[in-house]
Amino acid sequence: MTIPVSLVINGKTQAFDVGAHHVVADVLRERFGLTGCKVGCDQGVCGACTVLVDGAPVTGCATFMFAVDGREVTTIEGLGLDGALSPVQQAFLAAGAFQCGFCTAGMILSVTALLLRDRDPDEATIRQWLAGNICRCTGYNAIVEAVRRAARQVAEAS
Amino acid sequence: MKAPPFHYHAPDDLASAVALLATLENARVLAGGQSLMPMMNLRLAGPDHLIDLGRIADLRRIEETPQGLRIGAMTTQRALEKSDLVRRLCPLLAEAVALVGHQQTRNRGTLGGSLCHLDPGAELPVVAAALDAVLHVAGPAGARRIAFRDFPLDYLTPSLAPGEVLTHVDIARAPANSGAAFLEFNRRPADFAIVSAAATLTLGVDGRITQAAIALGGVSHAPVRLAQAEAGLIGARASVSAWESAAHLAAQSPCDGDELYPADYRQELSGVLVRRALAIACQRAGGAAHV
Amino acid sequence: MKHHDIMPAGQVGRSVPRLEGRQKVTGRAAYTHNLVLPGMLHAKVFRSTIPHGRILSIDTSAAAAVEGVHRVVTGEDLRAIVAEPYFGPAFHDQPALALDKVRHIGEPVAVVLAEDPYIAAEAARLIVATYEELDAVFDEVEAMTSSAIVHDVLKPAGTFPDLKHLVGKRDTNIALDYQLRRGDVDAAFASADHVYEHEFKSQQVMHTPLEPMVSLAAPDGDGLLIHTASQSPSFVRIEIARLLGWPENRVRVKVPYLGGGFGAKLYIKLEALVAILALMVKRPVKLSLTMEEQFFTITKHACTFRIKSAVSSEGRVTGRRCEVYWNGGAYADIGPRVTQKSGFTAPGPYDIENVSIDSYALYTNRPPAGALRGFGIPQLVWAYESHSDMIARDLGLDPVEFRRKNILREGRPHATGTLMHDAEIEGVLEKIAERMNWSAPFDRGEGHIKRGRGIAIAFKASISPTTSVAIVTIAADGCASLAISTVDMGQASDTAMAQILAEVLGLATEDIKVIHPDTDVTPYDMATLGSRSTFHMGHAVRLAGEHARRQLDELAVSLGYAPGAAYAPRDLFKKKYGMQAGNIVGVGSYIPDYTSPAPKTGLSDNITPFWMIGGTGVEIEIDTQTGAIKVLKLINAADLGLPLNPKIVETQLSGAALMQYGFTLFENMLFDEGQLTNGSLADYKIPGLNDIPPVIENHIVDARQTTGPFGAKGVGESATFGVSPAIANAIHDAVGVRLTELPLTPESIFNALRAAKSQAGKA
Repeated sequence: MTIPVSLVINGKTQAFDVGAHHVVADVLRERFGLTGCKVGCDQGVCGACTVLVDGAPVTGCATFMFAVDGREVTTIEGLGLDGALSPVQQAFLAAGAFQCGFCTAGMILSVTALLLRDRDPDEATIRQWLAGNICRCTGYNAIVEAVRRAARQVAEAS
Repeated sequence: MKAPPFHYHAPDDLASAVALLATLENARVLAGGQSLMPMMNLRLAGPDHLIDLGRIADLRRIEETPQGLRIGAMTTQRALEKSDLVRRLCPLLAEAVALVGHQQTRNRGTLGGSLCHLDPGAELPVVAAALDAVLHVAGPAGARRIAFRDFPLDYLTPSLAPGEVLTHVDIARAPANSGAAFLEFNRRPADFAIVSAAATLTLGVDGRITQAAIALGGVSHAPVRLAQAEAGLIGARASVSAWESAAHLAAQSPCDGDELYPADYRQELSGVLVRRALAIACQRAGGAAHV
Repeated sequence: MKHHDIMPAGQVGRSVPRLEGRQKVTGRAAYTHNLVLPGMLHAKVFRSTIPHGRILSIDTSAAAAVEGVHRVVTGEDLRAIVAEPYFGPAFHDQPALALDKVRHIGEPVAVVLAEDPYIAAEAARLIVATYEELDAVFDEVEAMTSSAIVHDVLKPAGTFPDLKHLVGKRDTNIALDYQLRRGDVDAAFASADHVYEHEFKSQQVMHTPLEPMVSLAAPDGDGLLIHTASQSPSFVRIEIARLLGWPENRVRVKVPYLGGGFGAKLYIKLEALVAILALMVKRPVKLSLTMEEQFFTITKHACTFRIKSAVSSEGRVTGRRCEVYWNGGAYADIGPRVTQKSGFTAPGPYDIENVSIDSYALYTNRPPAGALRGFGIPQLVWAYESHSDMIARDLGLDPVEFRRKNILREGRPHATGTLMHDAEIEGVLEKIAERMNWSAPFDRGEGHIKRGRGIAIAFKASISPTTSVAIVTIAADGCASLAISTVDMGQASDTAMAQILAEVLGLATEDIKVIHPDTDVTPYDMATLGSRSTFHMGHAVRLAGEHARRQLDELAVSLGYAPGAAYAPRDLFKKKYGMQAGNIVGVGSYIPDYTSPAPKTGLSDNITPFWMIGGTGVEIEIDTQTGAIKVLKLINAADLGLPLNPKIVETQLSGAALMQYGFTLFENMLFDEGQLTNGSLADYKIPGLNDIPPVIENHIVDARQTTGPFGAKGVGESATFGVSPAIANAIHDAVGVRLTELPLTPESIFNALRAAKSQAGKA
């Protein structure tokens, strides 16, 4: 069964038909080539499929596409402007907060959402917020450093 | 794994949702999807029809009532987490909801979804049990109320008749001079709890306990109220020995276990968590610190 | 061997940001996970539901009838392309799809091909197989003598002389037994003041790289192109060519970035199956495993280690006997090498006169075990460093002091007879002791919260002998490209190798183009594993760069420049070819010296080109009412020679330690009669940001690998070694109970406390 949906993806309105059982992660990756979103565990646990829906982090593999009808979806490809990196992306680069890079898009989006809500999150808040984004490579410290860097940058910019 | 195909329905109002659920074969409602989706991906659930409740605005609200709070079944856990009303009128719920899953799942998971799924390790059913929540349900035969203690039927099975949908939940406000605490024991903070405990206490002017509720999660298919322990606390002075007696009863309470966390270990944890939860609840009720 | 001196100013030793950083933070980095080819079919595997049995029938008719299914294939169907489709790096014992027998639950039995992966998944569920069930064996010690025999006959690959004696062996689950005999252990036990004997067990776990294994094969003219998330593209090419009876150059293997490897993506995993399928259907075939299916594909060896030591009253270990039983699962994979190449380090980094080691690779009916970060070392260290502390405590010796008395020092012979050089065992031990403030009094807590601290040190030998080749191409404008088959799976090998080349050529690292593995272009490399690339490929890159530089120098002289005069390469090309044209190509090939261990004694005077040293210190807190354990502080220290890129080295240390931390406290593959019951990340918990110690320190101990490229050597695994025993030692320090099995759960701590209490009550 197909369902018509219409939503904004990275600032652009997209209207199309989608299978009822298709999930956000698969549609973004296969139909729109937005392969920054990754499918790790396919169970909503690892966070590699995290995308923002109306600015809130959501597990793309555990969300049906019809559930985001009429919403605004932001993927990693939608961050930054005209080729310039967003403050969070820059902070991850500067802190070297990644290794294999597979969790990175989801991690950056979660952090982006966090800093929209909390300009200067404390350590406990950062850990709580990112609990649903697993990294098997880095040991996390560089990621925490990146969040702090990004918070400083965002504060300075405003 | 991929979810199997199904027919999708998105009713605009409750009556249509009920009608669909009652007439379609092998149909399930879809709330936040955070429990249903993994089950479908693992082929533990394979509905032919999914009835999406997301368009029914009525089901998404947090209201103050004379008795306390009325919360729509489709209210997200995130909304509960951010709500000042909830924090003020029902601190136990506010404390527990912050422990549910992680923030990505709380953005989509709902109160109703969690209560109807009844995972033994879930926090919200334990809160509903401790607070004697009243569930409002709409079905082909009309609307009815179900006290939470009568709601769980079996493992992952609520006592909903065919075609019935949970619409909203009534929770009594925390009385004056009361305190509450929610504690859980898990291997990692974001996990389902191995054992969880919710406790509420109300203190009288003389420092004696006038109300107590203790609910345990993770020890059975449904949250368990420790009636005997509660009765033992009424009229008693708030004290370490009062908590010890209650904890002792908690540790004796019959308990299910599994290979990973056997029953006797869960019983031990129950005792420890109940003792600690009561001490914290008492502190929050304004009683002297007894840990 | 060229002697490289202390850190030169320039590219090496600089914390150069990863070359691919921008791609990774914008989500643009390429992974096989993302690859789509026109006409591609998705493959979905149907798997065995019994642990051991003969296949009686496979009914694929219902699956084949599903609309949209292109084809359903079983093991026998594969024979049309490859008569004997068995592969493996040590033994050719693993079939691409089950033939005759199934040997573990989850073994691939059939595969469905369809354009739509949802349809392939639906159809795979309709396949029905029947089996004649056979007795199964799951425990490694039981497997030694069990009548349940997993393989009717052993099939070691003919290419390895040291495995020849196993050819044709029957009625055994022992795939390999490695032994080492030095001195006379029995005499040492007989004359010792104290003898200690303990048994330790490690559990089966899985790497869970976030990018699950994935391979895509496509017919390519009269050859084959395989895109695969693999750490060993050269091996894939050689093995697939062998299976097909083709020359190597008809098989092309390409590897982009990996979403994690950790040893899971080595040798052959999915490549043989997709290669044969692609040739059968003459279309590209992609097989993408789910996270759950990874658990059925390759795992870490569960292990039982019986260790017995002769110790003098002063605390000197005079003899040690090690019996190590490795649970290899249903197929050998690289298990025999773990058994041997890690087996010889079983006594630990200690100076012991009399040593006896018996290390057994066992077949069982569990999912196969292979290489996982550490390659068997963590399982050994779990035993010998717990054992060390138990000895020290019994003798009333401080654990650090006990180790000081016994560690191997410069120039002393290791158990194999090889003399120790460039192995900062002492440096690592002292760094940990210093950072732990070990000589200061320690507060062990009060009430129901108890605190403790523990340390562990360990070492690993680099697998030998292995070969790496590198090609450097200088373009006519003077820029450089580096073609290597080393795979960047997050360890920043692209960046490190570029740094080495840049150093040799006098260029900036960021200007080097590193070409990703493509076996049509990048030359042979043994594989990216065992922390070998920095040393081996590092040398090859250095040699290739030096070769290119020499050719440029010679070209300059031939064009009239004075020897030693400065020149710009672009001017040379212009002069030689009249325009911007031509190349200089430099090649470097490296294989270290090595002496194979003697078969009966296991002794060798040159067992490894370099040692990796790693140590851990932890401070923990235990809630004695629940058994809950919190690690408050995790100190990692390692000897990795000169750090080519200090910042990247630090994340290698913390990442490795965190992985082993997960194996120590959370992770365990749980089985019910051979059926895995928790093969999903929802049930199999790996550490998240909320689970890690609040304080983590990573220390690079001052050291040089004098035989390494610019003094460097490997680091990827070093911080895994000591984590488990350090935590167990800290638990003992805190509450006086000794756990000898992993993982260390609150429940096992709680039970141990309760048992100790009732023992004390009886006393």
